[in-house]
Amino acid sequence: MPLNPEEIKSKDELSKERLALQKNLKAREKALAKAVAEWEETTLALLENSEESAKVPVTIQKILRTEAEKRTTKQTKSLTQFQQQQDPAYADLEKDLNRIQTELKAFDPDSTLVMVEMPEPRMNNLFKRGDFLSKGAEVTPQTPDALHPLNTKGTPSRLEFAKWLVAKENPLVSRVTVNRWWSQFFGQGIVATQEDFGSQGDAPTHPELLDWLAVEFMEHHWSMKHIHKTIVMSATYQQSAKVTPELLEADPYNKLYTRGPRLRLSAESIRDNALAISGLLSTKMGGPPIYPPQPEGLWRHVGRNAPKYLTSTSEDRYRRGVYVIWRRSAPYPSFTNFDAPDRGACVINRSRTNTPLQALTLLNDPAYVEIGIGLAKRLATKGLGTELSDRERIAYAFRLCVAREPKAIEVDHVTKVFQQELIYFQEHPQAAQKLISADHRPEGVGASRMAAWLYVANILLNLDETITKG
Amino acid sequence: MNAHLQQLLNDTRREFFQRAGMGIGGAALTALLTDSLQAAVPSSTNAMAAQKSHFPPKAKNVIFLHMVGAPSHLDLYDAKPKLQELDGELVPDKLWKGLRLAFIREQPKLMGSPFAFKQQGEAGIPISELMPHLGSVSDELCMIHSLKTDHFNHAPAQLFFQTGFSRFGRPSLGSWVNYGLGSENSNLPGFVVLITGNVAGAGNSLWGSGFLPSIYQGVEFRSSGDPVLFLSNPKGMTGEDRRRIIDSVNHLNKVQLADVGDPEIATRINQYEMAYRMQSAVPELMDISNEPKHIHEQYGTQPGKASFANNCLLARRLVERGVRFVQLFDQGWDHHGSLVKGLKNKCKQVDQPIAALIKDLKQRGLLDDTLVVWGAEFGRTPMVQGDRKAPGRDHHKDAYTVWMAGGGVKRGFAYGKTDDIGFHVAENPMHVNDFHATLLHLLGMDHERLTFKFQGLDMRVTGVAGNVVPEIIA
Repeated sequence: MPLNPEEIKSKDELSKERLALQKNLKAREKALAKAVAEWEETTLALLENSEESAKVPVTIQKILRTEAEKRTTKQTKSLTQFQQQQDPAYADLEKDLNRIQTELKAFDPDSTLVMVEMPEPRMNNLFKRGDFLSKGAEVTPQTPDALHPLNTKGTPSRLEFAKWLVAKENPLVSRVTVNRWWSQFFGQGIVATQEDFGSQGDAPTHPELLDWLAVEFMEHHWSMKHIHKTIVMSATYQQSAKVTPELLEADPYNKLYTRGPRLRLSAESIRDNALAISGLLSTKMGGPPIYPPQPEGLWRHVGRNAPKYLTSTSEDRYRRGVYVIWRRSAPYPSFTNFDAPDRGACVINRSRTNTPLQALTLLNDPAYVEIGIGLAKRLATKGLGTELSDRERIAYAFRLCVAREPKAIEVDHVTKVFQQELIYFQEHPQAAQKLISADHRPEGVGASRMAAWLYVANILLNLDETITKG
Repeated sequence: MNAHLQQLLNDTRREFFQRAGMGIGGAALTALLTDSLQAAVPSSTNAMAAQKSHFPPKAKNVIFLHMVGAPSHLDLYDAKPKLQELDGELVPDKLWKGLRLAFIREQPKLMGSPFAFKQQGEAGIPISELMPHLGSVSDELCMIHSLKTDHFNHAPAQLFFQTGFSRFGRPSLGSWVNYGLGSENSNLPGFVVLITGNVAGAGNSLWGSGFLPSIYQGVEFRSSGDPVLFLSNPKGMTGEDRRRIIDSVNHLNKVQLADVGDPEIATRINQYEMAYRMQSAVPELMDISNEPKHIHEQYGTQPGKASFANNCLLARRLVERGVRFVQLFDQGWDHHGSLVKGLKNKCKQVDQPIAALIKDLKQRGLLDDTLVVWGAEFGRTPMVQGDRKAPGRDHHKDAYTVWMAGGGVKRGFAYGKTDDIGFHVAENPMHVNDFHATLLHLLGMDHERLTFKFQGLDMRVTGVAGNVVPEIIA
């Protein structure tokens, strides 16, 4: 937003004021420097007095007692700083200047990074065998001759290159992009080697479809939403994921799309999904990374680095997985257990494994236990004081976790489990109290009921269907 | 898709039933699936199943002891009488000119080893007085005196030594081996990492899976807290509670399986059973208190305490249970100063347990199948670093010593030679790439065929280099 005339005026005034203050400060600095010998003498004399000497930091005292020539640059600098701070005139000027700076800052526009071509382009060389110490021939920017021509006069600029990339004659960008989305929706790309469309990559399973999607994307002004909608509203995507013997024989890997996709969610989505189900999810956006709970001692000393993992206590704890802090030498374990790479390599095709460590994570990770307690609370307090039955609450829990109406046998089973656990905890209240601390017992719900609901939550959050799309 | 990966994902019907039968009370599910599985079904179940090697292997398992920080080969294994003579003299100009070292900046003096060497065993392999126990098993060792690496800073050199590449992002040796050979124990991961002291500078990437599926990454068994993350049940939940919950989860998953027929659900059911079994198998494994007294005396182990000795004993227990690759890291070998005191201390911690491990493996008949590797990211300079009161040695990449034992390598054998002062390789150099190629060869794998397609390349642990060194193979 551009500034209005009034704002411009005050900004100018502040700038003038700043200039004046800076000038005065400089002058005072000079004066102090001139008087430094005298100041040192008086300060040293003051040190004789114990009360006065207490006001001077020990490090400064040490510097004062060192001969001027023998001081290090760092020591001289700290001494000058101390002298300036001791001077009331200087301190006042500095304070005013800081205030003006802050006020001026408020007029700064929001900024973003902009690429600007250097007036003289930088010289670039090949590095022989990738070694930056052995320079090879000089190179200049250009695109492969075999492809469509780059529209430029002289040396191509970044902007010209960007235009070349998204030119009508170049469907590659669009093809690669829609293929990645397709893979997100269906679990495999039309070209399976998503990162490699070259001669070493796999051939597309449905070349015409890929072409059509790519053109559709370009012709709709590169609208992501349009393509996403087109895919998810297609009959192919909306098919049932049910596998029959005939389908399995004809199309074991679903490369012919004889059924709808059925895929385990990605690491981050599994957490987001569980947070959403439990009602804990915070949708706050942006800002620095967050630190959800993880077992102690994972962020150890690595070499000489010992940063601290300070677990978030606010709503940050429950924000989406994309905000979770990444440390390559100690990645968030419940993500890596679900095939999130450690960010050491750029991995486009994540593996989708099915392991016992995943089971242990969802069953026991303190973060998931906390999410389980969240869901237990949500269930225990649902329609509290109304006639809503526990059976209906369980049906509600199923809808939250698997996004469909449960079958009767499913509700029957979980209701039976709930009742058995409830009876057990009512007979063993201490066991319930051990499991559910006082601050996790909502009003009107006892520890025993909460404990029984936690069992239900732990079961439902661990279902294959809960962590699977399709 | 990569052909090998496709094969991994491809479960044969028979294997599928074997696995499916394990945990899910059998007949009903088998009946349910019999008709639905006419063809091979895609599933990730058997990504860890034991695979055939390229050719008959000499070794089945590896115990890799990495001394983090890099001990001095000149004070442990590579005896240099000439260096002794030249002690205190400036390093000759012709060696010094153009030389780049990690820390030393001014032309340094040479330093002979302050320790005595003794020819040990029938083969007469010289070993420093700091490693008396190791001396007693010297006839089992295959010394490599001529290893060369490309890097002289810890983190890149560690990555290079463990992944064949000096930056993040490549799979570690252990994950390559698991990718190639799979695991023989379904209750434990195939690649286990045990650590004493601080984690090495390169961090978890030293046992990461890089671009390989993450199932192949090393799993750290920790000496405090849960040995495996998330192994223990939440506070207040008993093992019986956990059993009932898993029963319910699996029951509901079976209902879904009957409805949808996705074999991935059957896999999930099995993984929950395996997780439950791990909850008892791992603590049982980690509890060394039931080992007999003579074993504790041999290793110098103390149950319940974190030590390198305990990790050596755990390594044997892991290999015994079919864990393919066991990696030990021990921090504290970076002796830039106070070499005499520092090296003495460190050797005291590792000498006895390493010798005990070799003897114990041999006594149990495991040494023939198990390759024990002792090594570090680089060696140390024959030049002195630091003051005369507490001298040390700088990092050195051009020549150093590692050793192997068991698993198909020559016994009581020394390969390669360094020059008179142990600075350059004089005979039979072995580059880290060659070392990796040879290690894979011993496990029955051709390093040129163990590949994974990533970013358009068939990636190998040896990059575009590496030659097997047949001379060290028995």
